Amino acid sequence: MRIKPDYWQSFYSGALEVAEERSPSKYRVELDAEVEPSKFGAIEGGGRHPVPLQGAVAFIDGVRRIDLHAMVEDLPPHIGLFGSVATGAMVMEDGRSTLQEALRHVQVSRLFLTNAPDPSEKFISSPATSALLGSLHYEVRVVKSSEPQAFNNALMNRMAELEADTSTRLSREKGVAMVISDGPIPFERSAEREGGKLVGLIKSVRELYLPKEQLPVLAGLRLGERSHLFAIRYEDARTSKLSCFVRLQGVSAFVSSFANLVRLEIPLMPRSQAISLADSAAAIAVHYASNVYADSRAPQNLYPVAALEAALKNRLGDPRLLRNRLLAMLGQGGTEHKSVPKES
Amino acid sequence: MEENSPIGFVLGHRPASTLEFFVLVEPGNYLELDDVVYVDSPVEGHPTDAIVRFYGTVSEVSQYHEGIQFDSDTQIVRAGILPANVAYVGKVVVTKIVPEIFVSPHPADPVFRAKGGDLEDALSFSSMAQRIPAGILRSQEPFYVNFDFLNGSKGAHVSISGISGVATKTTYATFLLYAMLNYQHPKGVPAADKASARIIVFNVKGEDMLFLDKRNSKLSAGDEEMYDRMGLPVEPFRDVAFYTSPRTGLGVPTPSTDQRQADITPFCWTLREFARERLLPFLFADADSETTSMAGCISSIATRLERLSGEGSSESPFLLVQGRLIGDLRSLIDTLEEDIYGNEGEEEGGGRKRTSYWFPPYEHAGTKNAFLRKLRVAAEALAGVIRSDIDHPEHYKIDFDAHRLTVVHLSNLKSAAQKFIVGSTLKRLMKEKERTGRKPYVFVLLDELNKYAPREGKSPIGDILLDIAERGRSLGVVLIGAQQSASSVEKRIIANSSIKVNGRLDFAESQSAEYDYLPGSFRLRSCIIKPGTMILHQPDIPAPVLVRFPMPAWATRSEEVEEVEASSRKEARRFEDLFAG
Repeated sequence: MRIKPDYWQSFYSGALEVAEERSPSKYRVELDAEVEPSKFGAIEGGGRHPVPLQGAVAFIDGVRRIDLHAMVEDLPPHIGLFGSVATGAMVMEDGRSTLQEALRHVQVSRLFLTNAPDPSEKFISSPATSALLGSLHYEVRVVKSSEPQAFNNALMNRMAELEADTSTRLSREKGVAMVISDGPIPFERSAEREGGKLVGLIKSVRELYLPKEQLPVLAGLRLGERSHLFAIRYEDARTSKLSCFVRLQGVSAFVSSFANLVRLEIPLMPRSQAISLADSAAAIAVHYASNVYADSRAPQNLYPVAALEAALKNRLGDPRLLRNRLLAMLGQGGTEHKSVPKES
Repeated sequence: MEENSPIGFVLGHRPASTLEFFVLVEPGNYLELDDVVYVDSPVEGHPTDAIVRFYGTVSEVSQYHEGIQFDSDTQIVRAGILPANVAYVGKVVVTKIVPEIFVSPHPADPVFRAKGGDLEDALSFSSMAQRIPAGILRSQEPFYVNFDFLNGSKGAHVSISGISGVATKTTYATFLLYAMLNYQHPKGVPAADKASARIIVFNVKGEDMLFLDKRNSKLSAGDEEMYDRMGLPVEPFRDVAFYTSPRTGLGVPTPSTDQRQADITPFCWTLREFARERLLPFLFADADSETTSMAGCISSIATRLERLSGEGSSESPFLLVQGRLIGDLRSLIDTLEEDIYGNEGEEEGGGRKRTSYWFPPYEHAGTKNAFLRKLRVAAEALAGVIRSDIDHPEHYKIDFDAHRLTVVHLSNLKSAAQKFIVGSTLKRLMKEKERTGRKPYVFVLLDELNKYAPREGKSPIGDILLDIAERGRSLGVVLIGAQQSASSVEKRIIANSSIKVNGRLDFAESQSAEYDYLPGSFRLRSCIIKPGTMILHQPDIPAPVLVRFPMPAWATRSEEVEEVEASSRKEARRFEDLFAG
């Protein structure tokens, strides 16, 4: 397999963090998960009277990046993509954690995705030298599409795999009381499998789920309050999830009454257990909520998650360094040197 | 075991250069300012396959939370909400590279603390042919200076700067001399040099130096231990002669000192010596006397005096001038006054101008008067010092060769008189050394150097000191100068000092070019260091080193003089009484 860098793609788009896209699926909302639908409303407590938690809280997140676009020289030529993902957890304990102690289960995976059928190599590697520290191994995976989105999804899936793996491992740890993963929880992850500890935290509240009549409840949530739990039942899914909204910071007259909200997701589980988990999760979300001056995604981007993202991006390596190394490696393939076109 | 584990690694995030690198300190270790460390880095591709060892001293240590953006993040890190790393970083100034392959340390190479033999190598102690202890390092190990840079063979002179009272300049200078005289080590000063070395100490402030030969009773166990660490005995100076200015208005020269009367000689100059040695210019040691006409006037009178000193009986301390004996400055002034103003009738009667015995005919009356005015001031200050009415004047002459250490106590004299004595003594010393050659070494300790050799202006005593600074090296005359501010001392004197020392400095002073041997952090530290701590720079080590030194083993006040001596004196008196009875 002869791989050449796709300069135009790489330099025009740069080393991108892959955009997240989600296709909306059909669902039905049931308001009776916690109280009778007629009583659906806000709950004091949660954030204001935190439920004591016995053990650590683990925040799980992942980052992904396209390192270099490439072409596989063939007739016809095929698309290739060097991408890296990193996942890990920030395990917050006792209110005091140094990064060395808190950062755990970091996994870095590098993939070479291509739509070339039957690629000859399993790995594309650049060994370490005294000047190039650390070896690079890109695992070759086939994507059966030429759509850019398919390549992005392949990277995302790899990240989701690693995240799920981390979450399962942490859920089994005795000292960990709760595992908060960034984003919606996948359908296949049942409460039993995660030991009733898994909570998904959705930062961007674009989809409100609730029927129009209940929206005032949401707009009226005060600092630390959460809405009652409601169930989301997908038509095409094997299972359903429970969910609620939490107000992380009070809103002033200057921001939308739907600002500073996050949505929590928990797998289906017995009602009392679900309520207790939702209360704790709401309290924790409020506790770790970030400040607007510190993070453009505040307050929803919780501090440990922000630190985790920074640490994971760091583990991916410097993007320019990586690209240069890939270019050098591909350049050794033997064909004549091509000059790099200037960025326009 | 612990000695072999690294304290950290060469930081990869910042460039490590040949002269400077950073260390990331490993958890569970610490790094302190002045710690001496080393790192071994292989040089790939070098024909000798060498491993280069970089020695260095820590000049800066810092810790911070890395991975945080805002100052206030510290609060949330502390609350355990935001995880962050603690980075513990030390900056190292390279002091030595072995072998001399000027590459740079490799990032992530282990860094070790230098101890014992490694420390000796790091600070070049092991390569010093002759060395003397100069204090204790922070690591409690002794610090040495290279004697070759003190005695003139490679360099000479010490310059000690610092604020009065806090910097303990003269104490340190005396300690250095003590260490030189008492250090017994195969690489120390050779016994012959030590035995023959002469030290002249000018004591210009207080009576601190009058008890150098007495044991200090107030010395703490900690101080004694410091002496022990440096391989020094705890004892006072031996073989010390004390000279002081005589009390004024007494027929017989009597010591002017308060706390000490025994074994102390008042010094005097006879007018004949004064004339023969051409000491007149030293009476006009203030820089502002150095106008052309005044200098000419001083010179012509000095020449006249010098000629007079050869006339008459050379046994006599008096000078015979125009049939009259003059023995002190007062009578010299009388003679000069008479010469200038004359007897009133004389001029009219002769019809011609009277020729002057002292002044050349072209000398302006204004200059003569100014000369006389200044001479009167000097005569006042030196009353009792320049005199001829004494038997055995040789007893009162400062003899710096008779004892190992000669203390010249000047603090009861006015500044003009102090300058005269220092200038006259040093002039005599230089003349003698020109005759005898480099050995034995003579060390001259002079405080307030800025007064004797100021940067601005020219003065005869400044010239002598500059001569010592420039030529003293080859003549074996070593100047140990102390001053509040090196920036106000003649540039060439400071520049000629091989060993530069400073105690506490005033902030503005610490920023001047004289302290360019101090890197930034040391300049700031100079403003806060305590008495008993000095920063020392010597040519063998490119970085300055902070050392502590013990309290003097000798007394600096009469209360410190050890009781044993007092009681033995009592005992002696009791015996006397017995026999008398």
